[in-house]
Amino acid sequence: MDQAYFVQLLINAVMLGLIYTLTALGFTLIFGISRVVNFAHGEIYMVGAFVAYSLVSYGHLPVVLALLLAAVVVGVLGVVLEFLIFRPIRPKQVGTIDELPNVIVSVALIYIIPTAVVLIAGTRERTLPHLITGSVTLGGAIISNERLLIMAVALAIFVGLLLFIWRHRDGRAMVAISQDTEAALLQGVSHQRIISLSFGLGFGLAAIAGALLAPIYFIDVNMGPPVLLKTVIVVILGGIGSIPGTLLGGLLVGFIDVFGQAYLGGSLPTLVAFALVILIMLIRPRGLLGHD
Amino acid sequence: MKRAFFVAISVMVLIGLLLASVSCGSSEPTATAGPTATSVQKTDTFRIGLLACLSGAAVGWGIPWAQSFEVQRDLINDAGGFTVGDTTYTIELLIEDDAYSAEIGVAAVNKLIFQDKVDYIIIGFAGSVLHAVAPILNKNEILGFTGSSAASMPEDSTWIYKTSEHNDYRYVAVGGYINDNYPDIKTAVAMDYDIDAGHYAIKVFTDFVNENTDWEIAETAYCSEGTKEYYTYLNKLLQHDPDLLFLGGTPGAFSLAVKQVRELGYTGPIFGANGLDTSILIDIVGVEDAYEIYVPYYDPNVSPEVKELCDEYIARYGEYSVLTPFMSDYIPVIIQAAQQAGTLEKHAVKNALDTGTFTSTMGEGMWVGQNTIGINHVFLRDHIIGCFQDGDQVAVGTVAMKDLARMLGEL
Repeated sequence: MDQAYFVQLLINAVMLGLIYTLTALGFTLIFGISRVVNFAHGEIYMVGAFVAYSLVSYGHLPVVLALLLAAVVVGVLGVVLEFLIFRPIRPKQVGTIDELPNVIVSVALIYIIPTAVVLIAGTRERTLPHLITGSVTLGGAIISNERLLIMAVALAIFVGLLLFIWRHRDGRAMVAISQDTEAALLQGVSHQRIISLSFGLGFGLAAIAGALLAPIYFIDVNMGPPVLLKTVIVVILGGIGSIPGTLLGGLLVGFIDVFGQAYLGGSLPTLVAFALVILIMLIRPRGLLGHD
Repeated sequence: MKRAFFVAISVMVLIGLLLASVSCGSSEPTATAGPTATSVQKTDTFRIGLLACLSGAAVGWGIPWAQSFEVQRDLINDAGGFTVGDTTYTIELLIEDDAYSAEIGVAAVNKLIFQDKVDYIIIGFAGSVLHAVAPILNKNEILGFTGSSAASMPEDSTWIYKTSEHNDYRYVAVGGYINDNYPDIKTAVAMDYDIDAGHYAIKVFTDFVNENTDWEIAETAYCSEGTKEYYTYLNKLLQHDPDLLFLGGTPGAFSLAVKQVRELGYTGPIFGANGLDTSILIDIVGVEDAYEIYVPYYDPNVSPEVKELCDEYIARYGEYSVLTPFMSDYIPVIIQAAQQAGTLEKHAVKNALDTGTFTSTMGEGMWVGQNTIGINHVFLRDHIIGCFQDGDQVAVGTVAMKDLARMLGEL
């Protein structure tokens, strides 16, 4: 293999892997705390990109600020949706799980959200201005500075989330609830507040992932479903509830995607990823780094 | 006595004749008498079904498709409708969503035929929907008009008409122009999505290259559906140092591929499989990198009718859509056929479609297709080749429809 080609593939794999990690972290955060499987997570990723676009085009904000603000705006949307839709259908008794209403609601959102976006923004593809311009040469490959920046930002967000989970009181509360809800409540953790926070963070992570890729790709109303697919694969491979596992799963899927496209082409990389998922579920159902 | 009798009879006959002439004359309208019941034009509504992708993956094309027809309907109705025989018709569009899905398309067509009782249906450009609904239309003798870009036509589709040409014609036109103007091209590469339409587009391009040029196709690449990361594929293709790159995909995907291939250092010409809006390409690619991109061009200024249609679309929706000039012949062709038949009765209109002569909104038009789809049901018109340069899309050449037909063995 040509060295420059390999380096190009490697950079792209890591970049995509980190973006998948951010999206999957949001998904696993929501599920781990509230037991809601958010099938509309891909649509949130799409909404994040559209919000960033709106802030740049109509709010005339700098791209970097628009990306961060998009995460905040969509995070607030997550809190509001949790309050208005998911909370009323949640069983009142702590520890009781009833997935069906959540599934129905999140599936409904898969249709409602893109339809709303089409009505508001139309169907035309859009793009964001570059974050930065220029390129560097690494190992003979031309790598845009923008892609390197996206990798750095994604990594920084991941590290920031880790620090929040490990060091911040609410982060530790999230871990406690995901491990044993009743015990956490006995320790004085506010279940409702942490669930709201998980929705806010989860939505925000998906949104910034979508917004980060907007300058190098384009934004369209159909960009959500492929991301949801990747997210589910990452979460299952890495292990639900495991942050390091999500990073490992994200990078693994990024590598399968990029190198699979290079050597298999077409839709075969997705087939390989799903085959790996089945293998993991048979051999190690909790995922590569998941907990029992 | 006899003389008096004859005089009396003559007078009575004369009076009788006079009375008869007066009574006949009074039943005819006079110029100064004003309109009477028999001189008032009859009016009626022409109901036509329209399938459009109003949801699903192709919604970016489906909504402008439907909106373009709505604009054309309104322009025709606001101008007083159209006349066939002694009846003036206004158009009623019954729009149904096919979601780019064969199953949903079938349900929509069944509703239009059996519930709404239409005899005319415009089908979109989804080949899968066309193949699914064609048997229903043919069996129930419903006239169908499609914009599917695939060359295939379902078997025994005597009631289906392709009112816009398919890829074979477009690629011969654009490819022929590139071949004539870039004599140094030796190596070509191609990329499209790993879906039926993508494989078909590359197949048609490959056939064109093999039959009409000295180019060698060094490699073809099929991207997984939904991906926006083309670097992997483009890097593979660029390793062959190509002189020409063929790209398919939706306007956004095509534009993104152009952007990424320019980022990777490719500066050669690009052959685009589909027409697209200038503004989308410039938005995504940028003015500096949008050069030497050759595409089928649907010129919004090609004729007063098309210009009016496009201007009204822009006034209503705020932005131009390439689908507006693309669909501009569908309803006019139906109207021409009905006027030639003297009626909107579907069998008579079908006969007129098969035997009549037609003009397009771009000039002449003719029915071809025997050689490519086995039946002369493809409406061909002059084909314009567009090129992006200096931030705009300009017409760089026109291939006359008869030349195009000859190139494909239709004449």
